[in-house]
Amino acid sequence: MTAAAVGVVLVLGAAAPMLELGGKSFFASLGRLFEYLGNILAVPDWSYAPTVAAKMLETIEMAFLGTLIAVVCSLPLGLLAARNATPHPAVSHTVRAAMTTIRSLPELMWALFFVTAVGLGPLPGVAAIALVSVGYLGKFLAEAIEAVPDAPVEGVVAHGANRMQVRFYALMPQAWPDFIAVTFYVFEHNVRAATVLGIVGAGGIGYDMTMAMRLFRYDRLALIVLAIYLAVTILDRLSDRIRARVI
Amino acid sequence: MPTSSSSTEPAIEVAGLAKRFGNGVVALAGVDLIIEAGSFVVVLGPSGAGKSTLLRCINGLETPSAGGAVVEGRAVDRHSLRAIRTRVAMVFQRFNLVSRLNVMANVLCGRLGKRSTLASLFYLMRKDDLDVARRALDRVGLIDRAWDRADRLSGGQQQRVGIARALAQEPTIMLADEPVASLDPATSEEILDLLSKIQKQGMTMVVSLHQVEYARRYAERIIGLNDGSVVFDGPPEALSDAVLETIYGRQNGRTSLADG
Repeated sequence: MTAAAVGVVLVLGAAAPMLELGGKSFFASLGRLFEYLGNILAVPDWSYAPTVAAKMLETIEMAFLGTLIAVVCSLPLGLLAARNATPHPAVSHTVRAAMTTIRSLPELMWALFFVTAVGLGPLPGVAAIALVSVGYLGKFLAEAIEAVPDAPVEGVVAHGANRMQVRFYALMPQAWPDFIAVTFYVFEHNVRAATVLGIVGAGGIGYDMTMAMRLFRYDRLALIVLAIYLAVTILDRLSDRIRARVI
Repeated sequence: MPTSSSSTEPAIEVAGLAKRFGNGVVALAGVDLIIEAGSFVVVLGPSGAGKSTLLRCINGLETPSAGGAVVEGRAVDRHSLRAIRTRVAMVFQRFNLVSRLNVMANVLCGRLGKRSTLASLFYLMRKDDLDVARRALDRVGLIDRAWDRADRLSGGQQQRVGIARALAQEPTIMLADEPVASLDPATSEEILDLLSKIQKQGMTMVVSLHQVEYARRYAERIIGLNDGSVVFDGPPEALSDAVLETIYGRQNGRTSLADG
């Protein structure tokens, strides 16, 4: 335990110079940081509020649409990937491998890729969010299906249900509430992801945020940060409530 | 195929039925049985005697290692499985309900064997299916809980849902695998009374039990099973202490009977 702690400290100490993390530069930049924070506390430009609201709405819509597409796509994929529902083990392996590949890149990278492919705007953003969410939701659904015990499956099988009916009347209903709960987490994550996609031109409030930063419009930046904070907090509370109801 | 209740054809014929599991455990060592239509048969024996395996082989939930079962003139095999399961219902010890579906949906699962995949995929239930399910729930006295989620019900109520699901199949034979082993005595009697009533209204009932008391009270015929073999087959009156010794085997029968 102690040896491990000493080891971690040594490694960090050795790595600090490489990252130019010295005590001196750290305290020097601390000063700049406070200066910057002071700027953000500027009087907000309230005339800019309607634009921010519209942009925030667009961001949430992107997250919502992306999540919705992902839910629809992950239903068949989850069934194909779950070992106890797949038509063949090879299918399960292939689908799992594909989902892992998708998940290995963050939304921002996929957004860059789609911006190059289809051009600027919310569309590549939605595509990036949907794709990564399929990677996650498909995996979660597969795991929720695999966690379904044998008893309800046998109860349905014994009454003459075929394999397809077992999937729809025993496996899916048992896995569904957990899947819904996870979907809300993914949606919350997607709202946050959607706020940064604008940096690469994939729609949403992120574009306005970078522009405000580059143009030193701290009065606008303050509003944007406030909008993101409010949106994320409200959605968090809402999804908590809905989640408590479905499980 | 003629209807089940033709007096000449037995409901269930089991011949040379043996089951050896992958781990080498022999659950059934050659069982021969004929069960008449409309009777109330109790399969009695200690845990591990092979009661469950016997019932599960009749329903095709287990594949026998040797021999087999014939249900209403039809051999139980891979091809006849679905057809047989629309005539043979199963009631389980742990109810085996889809706990997150409501009671009605669970009962409707009893109709799946008779419906095409495509229709059932969209959860499209025919009106007559709903009527059958409603009548089944009415027979077990749970019609007022139809829209509650199955896991909100007590153990006895869940077993009633299990029985309603079995009834919704409109079967001619009902197999109940230790239906009261997870229930308290009062509830157990309610469930067995219900099964007895269903049998009298026209059903072949095969119930596995480990409690001698209940077997004596409800059975028309008792099949004693020990270590995978039939050691007794007769009416409840013939179930003497000596016979119980052979069924419950090993040492003094009294102590092992007490845990009923």
